[in-house]
Amino acid sequence: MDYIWEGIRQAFFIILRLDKEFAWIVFVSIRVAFTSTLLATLVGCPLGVMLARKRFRGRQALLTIVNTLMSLPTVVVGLMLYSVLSRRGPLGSLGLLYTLTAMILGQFILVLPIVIGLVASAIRGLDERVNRTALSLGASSWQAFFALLREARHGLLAAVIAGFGRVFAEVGISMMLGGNIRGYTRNITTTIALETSKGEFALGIALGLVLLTVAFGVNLLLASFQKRIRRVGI
Amino acid sequence: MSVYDLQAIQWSIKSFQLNIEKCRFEKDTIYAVLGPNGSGKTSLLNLLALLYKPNAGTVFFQGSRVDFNHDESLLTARRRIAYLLQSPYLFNMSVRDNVRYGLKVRGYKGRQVEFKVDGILDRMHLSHLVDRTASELSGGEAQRVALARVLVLDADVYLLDEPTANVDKESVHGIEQIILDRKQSSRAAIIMTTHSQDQARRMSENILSMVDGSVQDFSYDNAFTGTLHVQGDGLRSISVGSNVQIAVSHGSEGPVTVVIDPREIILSREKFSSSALNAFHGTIRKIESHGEVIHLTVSIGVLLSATITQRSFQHMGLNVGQNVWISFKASAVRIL
Repeated sequence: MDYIWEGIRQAFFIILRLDKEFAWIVFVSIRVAFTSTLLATLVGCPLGVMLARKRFRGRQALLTIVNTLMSLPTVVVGLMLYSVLSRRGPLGSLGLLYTLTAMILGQFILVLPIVIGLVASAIRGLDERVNRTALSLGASSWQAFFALLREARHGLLAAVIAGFGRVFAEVGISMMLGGNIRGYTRNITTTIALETSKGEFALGIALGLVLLTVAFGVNLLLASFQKRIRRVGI
Repeated sequence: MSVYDLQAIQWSIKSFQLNIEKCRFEKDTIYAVLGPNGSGKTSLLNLLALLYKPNAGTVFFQGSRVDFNHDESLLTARRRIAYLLQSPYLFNMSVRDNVRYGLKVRGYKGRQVEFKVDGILDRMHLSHLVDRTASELSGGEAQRVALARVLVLDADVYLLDEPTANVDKESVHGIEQIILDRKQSSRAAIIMTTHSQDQARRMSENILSMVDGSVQDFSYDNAFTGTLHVQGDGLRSISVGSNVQIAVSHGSEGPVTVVIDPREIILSREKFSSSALNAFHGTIRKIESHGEVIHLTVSIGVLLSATITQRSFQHMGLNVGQNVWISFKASAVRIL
């Protein structure tokens, strides 16, 4: 049991010292998760709005697919992208495997259905008069689109936060597509996996605490938005 | 130049069809559109707001033919129109931000926006609500804010779908006055829908009625067509129906159409002597309650509508089938 206590003690030292390697690892995690979530938001918001508002054949099927993909296993995304990006794969010549770009791409695929699905449900929960009200007051169709987004803002933020929480804590994609290269693609989750397998706990525990803190913060934010959503009755 | 000129318009959704053969709206005029629910009042306004593209026909707006496929010119035209939706929706923002919205999308900025917003909120006695959010307003307050959001715009056309719905009785008059003032100050065309004939009469001399998706000139209560006779002593009367002579105060001989305002008709249980030249004995056929007033249909050989207050209705204890006397002055008969 002593080694666990020793690990925890050292973990606090690492955090307080703000060890350089530790800081870099946290930075990689935040940077990759932030970029992938941002891209997924830019792509997913319009798609979510379209899925919520446009009537077309196969819409219900598409919604079901999106909802299924919301719980896409990370290793499946890792596997698919690995086969495409590896030297023998169709995009092998781009040399993307084991780069931050590959990790961002993988996390983007993971978080996109979450953003689309949650945005669609936030928009579907809006009063149907929002769009017509904007148009009746002289809005262009773009302005009316932004009026919709603004009315659903709490739901949209909840979607983005949920997506960020998902990619920040994932390990499969980072490991398979990033390769856990020290000082480059190594991030919080891949470090924890590696350190644990080495039998060294201090760094892992320190990073675990960061993960938990972020997860806690994300949940706190989510809860506050959900409370607001309930209050305004969107 | 007419503000709107509609020609051979057809528009349909599900089983409902809007059919307008020909219809023009002029500036500096208030139009009141009357009609029951589902008659197409709101569809007409959506069409006039250029939000619906007709299946057939042509809309001329301020002299130019509207091209519904050309987004840019359509938007320019739409921005000359301010439209109050039926049971309007307020954005989940402050009252001030709601009222700003139409100005913002039109590209107004800074001081100009605040000046206009403060002005309209002040005129509509809403200044105290400026920082409230939409969800904190009562139904009547929300309706007034929605109207302010429309009237803050300098439009050539105001389309108002039941502007006094959801508003308490005391505020109705105030809102009507604000709409009348807007017509005075802007010379805009104002097209409003209403359920109330009384409101339509108060607001407008151009009353249209929607029936099953088509626009018709309003048919008045107590409208009769007959022949006017001038007797030797100068007494004028019109014979309508089989055996009813209605005395009128002016007019020349020949066929005429007259209307009698139901509010000008006096009901009594007994015949009484008065200056009214018209007195008829009749039977109550129908009684309808419209809030504070009661509409009675009385048969005197022809059917005549009369409006009395709830109070006098209860006082007189009237029932269907009862015999009553009705009287009205010759000057209450309006020749169209």
